[in-house]
Amino acid sequence: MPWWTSARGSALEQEGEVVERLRGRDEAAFEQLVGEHEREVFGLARRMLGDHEEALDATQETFLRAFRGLPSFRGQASLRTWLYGITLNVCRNRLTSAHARSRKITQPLVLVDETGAQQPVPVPDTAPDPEQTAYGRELRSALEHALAALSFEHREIVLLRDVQGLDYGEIAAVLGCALGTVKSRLGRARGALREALKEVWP
Amino acid sequence: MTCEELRRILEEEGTASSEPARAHLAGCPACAGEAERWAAVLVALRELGQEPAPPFLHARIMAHVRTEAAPRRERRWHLLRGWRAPALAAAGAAVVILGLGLYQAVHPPVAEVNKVARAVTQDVEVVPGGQRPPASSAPSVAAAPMAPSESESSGPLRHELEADVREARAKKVIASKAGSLAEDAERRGASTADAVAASGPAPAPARAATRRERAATSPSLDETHPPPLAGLLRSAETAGKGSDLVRCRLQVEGEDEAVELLLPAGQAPPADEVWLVTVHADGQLDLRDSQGERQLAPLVLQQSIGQQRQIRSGRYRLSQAPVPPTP
Repeated sequence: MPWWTSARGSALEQEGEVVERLRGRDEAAFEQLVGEHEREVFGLARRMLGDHEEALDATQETFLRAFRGLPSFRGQASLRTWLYGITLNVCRNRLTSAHARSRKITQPLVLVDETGAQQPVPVPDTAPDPEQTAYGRELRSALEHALAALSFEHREIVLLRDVQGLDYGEIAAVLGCALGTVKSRLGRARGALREALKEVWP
Repeated sequence: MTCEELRRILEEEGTASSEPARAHLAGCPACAGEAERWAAVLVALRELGQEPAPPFLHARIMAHVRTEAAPRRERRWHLLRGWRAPALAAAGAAVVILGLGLYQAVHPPVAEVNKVARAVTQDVEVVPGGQRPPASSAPSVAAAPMAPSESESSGPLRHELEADVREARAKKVIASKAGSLAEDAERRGASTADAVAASGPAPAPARAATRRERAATSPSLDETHPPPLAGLLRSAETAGKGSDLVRCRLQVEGEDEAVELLLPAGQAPPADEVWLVTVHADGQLDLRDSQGERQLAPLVLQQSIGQQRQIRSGRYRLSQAPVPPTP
């Protein structure tokens, strides 16, 4: 690679090729996109919505919207920030709709076989790593509660910066605001997080 | 630097690494403790983002994407539904007739070519539901005679796949007849009517083959399998709160067999609607409301169909229980 070609430039070129394939509704390219970003999208949705099942649906909806919107994707933002933007819109809609409020399945599911006998239902294992320290578990639990207590705007910016690891420029692209706004809003959001963590962090 | 300034920096930056900040931290245990806690929080937050997605999520997303992609391939045929199919066929036939008219102007005999035009029109005139195109939209075709047996038997064949096959066949027949039959009439002087008969206008066996193809390619209930709803994953009816759930009925289309299941209120069909669930052989699930609009399948259905494969491929009717009367 020539010295003047940055790694970032190369990544953008590669992404440009992927985008072209995606615009052509290349299923393999879209599956690759899903494979590369599903964890991030699900993680963001999971924290934004605070509900595992809702996050599954939101992730699915995000990628379906992305699939439908690919022809209009012009590449001004990276695929990652574009997907994050869709994810946050999906989450916002779900949180504000009556649909979301009635969504929780509170009843246990049973699998009934042909004889009518109940069988255990396989449930995805989402338990936290058992090797976590007690302090880590406590902090993690406190963080989950603190994040859930934040406003949507504060939660999204903390998640984008501190959980997903986006830089300020990427956050500005996702949220459609100026860099200065990102910085000030992040400061306020962390302050709110600090306040929400008072129980474990007096 | 004051404590307040340093804490504002910690909140905005997550860390305080400038020279004045480090000098302040060195002399202020309270702020040093605050910086340590922020560092721990940031590490814990980053770990939250490292959680893997559920292993089935990828397959679930792609199943829906493929289902989403499938109708796009079919969508172009929607142009051929209803009145559009005969109208387009009529337009095509009109073009052929005009072309033949021009041909006739320089290549007699007139009677021979008119026979071709009528034969072609008869063939493409077979429309879904036995309807003929409105006279105002295609006077030249409406004036042509129809084959009675075709129009009477096409009622139950009003199906998009039928439209596909019919359109393709109509195009092929028009092209082949307009070209080869006219050439035959010119070169060999043979009877055009004979040539039309030889090419086989609108053969009934071909239509029967179309039905067989559709039966082979569309989801169907295979009698060699166990009952389709056996082992359905369904919600327990007695436990928990029921206010957020709606009792629904999933019925095998065309049969009495049905099972009740509880779906989240926001994802169940409205009380007066019946939705169509199509389970494809590969486990993909397509859910359509009464307007034909695609709906996201509720998780309960996806788990029972897409993941657990508890329901056989085929078509099902989903409605709130009890099932509203079929119109």
